[in-house]
Amino acid sequence: MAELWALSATAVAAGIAARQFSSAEVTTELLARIDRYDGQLHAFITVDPEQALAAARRADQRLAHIPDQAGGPLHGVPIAIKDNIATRGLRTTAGSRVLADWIPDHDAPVIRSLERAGGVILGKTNLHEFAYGGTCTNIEFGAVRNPWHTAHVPGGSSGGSGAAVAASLCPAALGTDTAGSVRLPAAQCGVVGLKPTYGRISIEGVVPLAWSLDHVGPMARTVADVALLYGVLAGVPPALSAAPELVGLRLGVPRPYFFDALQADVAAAVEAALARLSELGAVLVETDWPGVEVSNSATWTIILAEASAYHRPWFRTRPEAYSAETRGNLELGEFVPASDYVQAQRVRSVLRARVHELLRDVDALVTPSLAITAPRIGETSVTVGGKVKPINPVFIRLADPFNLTGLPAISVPCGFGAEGLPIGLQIAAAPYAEDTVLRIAAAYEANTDWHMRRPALDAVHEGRSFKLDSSAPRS
Amino acid sequence: MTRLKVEELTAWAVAVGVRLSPERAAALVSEVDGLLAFTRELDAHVAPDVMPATVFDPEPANG
Repeated sequence: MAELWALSATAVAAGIAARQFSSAEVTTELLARIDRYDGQLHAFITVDPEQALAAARRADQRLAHIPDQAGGPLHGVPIAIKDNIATRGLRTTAGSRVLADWIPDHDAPVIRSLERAGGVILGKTNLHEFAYGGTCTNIEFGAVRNPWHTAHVPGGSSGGSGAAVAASLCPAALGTDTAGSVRLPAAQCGVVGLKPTYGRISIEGVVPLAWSLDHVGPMARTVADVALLYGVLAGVPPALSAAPELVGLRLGVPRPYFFDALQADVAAAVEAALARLSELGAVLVETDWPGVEVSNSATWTIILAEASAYHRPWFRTRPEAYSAETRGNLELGEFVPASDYVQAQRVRSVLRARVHELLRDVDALVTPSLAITAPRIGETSVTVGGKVKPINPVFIRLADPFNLTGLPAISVPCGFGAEGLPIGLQIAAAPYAEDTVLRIAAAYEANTDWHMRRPALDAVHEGRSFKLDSSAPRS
Repeated sequence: MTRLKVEELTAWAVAVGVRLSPERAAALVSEVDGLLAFTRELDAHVAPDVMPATVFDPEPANG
């Protein structure tokens, strides 16, 4: 059997249900990996080994009391949680000094769902401060490093979750996605990330960036694992067959806007992925989403206004507690005219109507997840299509249309760029058509091997220095 | 479009309770001008009958 830390969430759940190994054993191995590698990656903000192992042992004890039965679908599976999701008794910082000492007295509903399904909370992952940016260059808790090349960012804002999953520090994690923050780190870290339909999964208990755009979504190394978590969070397991078929499925390829100004290696990887989908029987349909070019302006207007409204009490009394970047964004948000905010919400109605029109003719849309591979830590601008542009608008450009319109969208690995950095393929479909998105992603994954590649990691021996209990009993 | 003046921006910041250093106020003027130019492009995309995508449910979430 493979090392327990290397197993997928599905395999961990199956192994525990079959009494092949215990949750405590898996959790112990993962904590040891976090101790060994996270001093370099900074994927986690808070890990409480005693709490995680206690939860794992409770899961093992519950299973011992129900011989010949499986537990919940995630029974004993260790899961990492983005640190803007409230966890009872476990510090929740949102990646900011503002909340550095907050220990919630409640769990977010998504945490309760995971725990009801038997999941074990492994720790809280690093993020861009308050999820307000895409690089995860966090000045308070350390810049998250991309496991594929540690001089590069992991993407964000759920970059700690992306890096932790890619580095096999956990089999699966939760992220949040306001303008691409699950899909973008998934793409840049070579893992799978799903943003479900807006409202499909509760955002209660999540420190908001922008309520009308925020989503919670699962991240993992395989589509099956993302589907497993999604089923638990949404309360309805997706209908995903073991060998999904694409024959006759119509996939829209919106070349204007989504394929403009791509980095050359990204363009090549996505074209190869489209060819693969076609070989698998999908019908590719060239299409156009009129007006989508204004999505970025509308998204940014909404985020600026909603974020400044949320942060107003803290920002008035403790502005110095924010990083200069977040503080600058919050200041700017104070100057968004109310009428512009409403115009952005009206643009949203227009883009939603137009994409629904498109989706009458096709089953899903397929695009790159983002135009570039992960930039280096510290870079604030990138060259795309021969032009130098600020990083954040480039990051969210191809992802935010699906936040604005609330459609389910997934990023799956579809190749590697010139520097060995991962590239993501985005698949989106009609509201509540997560099954379609997952089916296409699973069929593509089953016919490629990108998801099977793993980054080579260097241990940092001055890491986190947990005192691990290595006496977890083997089954 | 008339550019925003630093004094106007500073007065607004004081009125809404945001503390700005003189240096930051000077930089923020350009950012706000950029933002306003940026959001002007939204106007061209909405016909008069388009409603905003905001939802109000008269039933409170917790009953």
